[in-house]
Amino acid sequence: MARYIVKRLIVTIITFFGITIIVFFMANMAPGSPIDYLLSDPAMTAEEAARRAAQLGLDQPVYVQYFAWLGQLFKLNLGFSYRTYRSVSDMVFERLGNTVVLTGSSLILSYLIAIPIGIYSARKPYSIGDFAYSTSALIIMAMPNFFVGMLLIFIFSVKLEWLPMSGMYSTNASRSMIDLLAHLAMPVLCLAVQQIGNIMRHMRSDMLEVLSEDYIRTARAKGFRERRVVYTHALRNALTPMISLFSNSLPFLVGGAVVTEQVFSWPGIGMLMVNSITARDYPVIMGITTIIAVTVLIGNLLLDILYGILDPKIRYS
Amino acid sequence: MKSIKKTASTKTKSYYGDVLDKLFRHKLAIGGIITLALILLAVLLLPPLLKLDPYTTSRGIAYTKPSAEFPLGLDSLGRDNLARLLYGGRTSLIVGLLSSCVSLVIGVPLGLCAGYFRNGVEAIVMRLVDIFMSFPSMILIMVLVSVIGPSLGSVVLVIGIMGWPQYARIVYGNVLSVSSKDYVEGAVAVGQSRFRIIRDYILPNSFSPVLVTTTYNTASSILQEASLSYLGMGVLPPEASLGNILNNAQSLTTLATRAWFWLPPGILLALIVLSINFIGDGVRDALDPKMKYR
Repeated sequence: MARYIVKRLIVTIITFFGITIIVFFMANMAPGSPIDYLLSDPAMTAEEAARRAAQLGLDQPVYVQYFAWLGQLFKLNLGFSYRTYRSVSDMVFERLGNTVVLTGSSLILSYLIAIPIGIYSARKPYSIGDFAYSTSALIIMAMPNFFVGMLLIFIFSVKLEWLPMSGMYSTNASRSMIDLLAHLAMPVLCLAVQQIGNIMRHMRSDMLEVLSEDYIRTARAKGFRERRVVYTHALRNALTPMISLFSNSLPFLVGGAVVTEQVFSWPGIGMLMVNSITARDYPVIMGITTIIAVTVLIGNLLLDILYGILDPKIRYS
Repeated sequence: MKSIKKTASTKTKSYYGDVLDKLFRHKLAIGGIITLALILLAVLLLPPLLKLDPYTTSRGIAYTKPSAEFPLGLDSLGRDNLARLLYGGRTSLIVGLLSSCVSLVIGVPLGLCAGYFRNGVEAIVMRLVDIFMSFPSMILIMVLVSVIGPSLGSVVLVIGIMGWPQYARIVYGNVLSVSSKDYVEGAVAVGQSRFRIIRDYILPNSFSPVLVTTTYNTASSILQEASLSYLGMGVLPPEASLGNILNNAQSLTTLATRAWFWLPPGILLALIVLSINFIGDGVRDALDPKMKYR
């Protein structure tokens, strides 16, 4: 087990350096250097700009700049926004919470809906219910996120006037839990319906596989009731592969709601990203991509270790 | 006598004949093929036949309701909605096909090399796959397209580049499982060249999973392009894209009162993606030798 963790740790560190290299050179390739940005100020002379650039280390070769940036990264200093002059890490972390509230609730909701449907479909494969669930999941998955969002707004905000169509809190009301939930309902639903299909399919095939195992036949032969066989013996084994499915949705958890956040004007990471790209605010763009990738890396590492503990067969491999 | 004849005739059928046979028995796949063919015909033939023009503005008052002259009305700049819808459908299909070709061309060789040469190559390629997969793809696509400059070409290229890890993973796994088969080990033992082993044994065996990945990848590329253009960062006006038509429909008045404007592009997009996914399901089932006729 210890060897497995060390091996995974080494891989994670290598991947981390790969990510920082990609992020740094991507931003470096971008048109419009910081010097051009300094020169956009009419009071700035060319000599003064050159002096400032030297101060910022911009006259150094690219690899020196990369290591300087990496050094600051380890001190959790992601630099300052060109647009708001605020610290990038402050800007990102205050938005990260809002995004995780949104994506996290949608993940919980989709697993809560998808797992029972998956179990039902596996118990009655090729039944009318199974067919109806899988076909409707395919139809919803084929619709782009923003179109689902527009339909939801059209139904629940325009026609029924039940839910607010944008933002996180109403401007005139105090910040209450009910107000937050009302704003959360549509974006969460919009994100959840897109994922239910995928989770449901996995649950169905995992459960079908487990139900054909010998130990299930043994349990049935012993005369246990069907409910007990399915929900205790089979379910526990069918849920283990769901952990790796969940680790696949980690990138989504921190940065997967870009489009939905835009549709519902949800003040999260995705909206910050869209605004920063439009304004070519590279420190923020680099900060967001790095933080997201690192979060995903650490999450994957933890889930892999958890998986190693839960599934004895993959240990030491 | 009769039964012997029957088994004899099924035995002579080639593998791909059998696959096609199964595909055409898959009802959803047939539905998908027909829908996609109709959309393709409409998108290619209707604009020249009806002499549609998606670019000319001010052909009437903005947001003119559907009429005999303009069956889907006019948009915010007085452009013909039907023309923009069909040209947008073209954009979607072009992006879907070309960008999955780009992913295939990058991903398949890398996966082959990783699986066949193992050791160093394997480590580098699979780490790269990890790196690419640890980013939410939409965010990386947005950044790269804006760095290169948004256009149809850059959208195709970037979505294509972001799609390669899936191909590499599939091919890599497949190579590993095929390489350990007796007939490949036999070929190695007889001293056949690596190139021949890859060409004669490994590539043909990777064909079906790659084909299935391509269909699903085409569908997801189409959705990514639409999302990007919806955010105003992909295919930019005056070029038409189903995504940028919908970007135009974000205002509350349009959403509330002009369903004829924003419903058609959304429905067309969903139909294209859905039929490609149905075809993908059909191809997957047809290529699976364990699936028998239902």
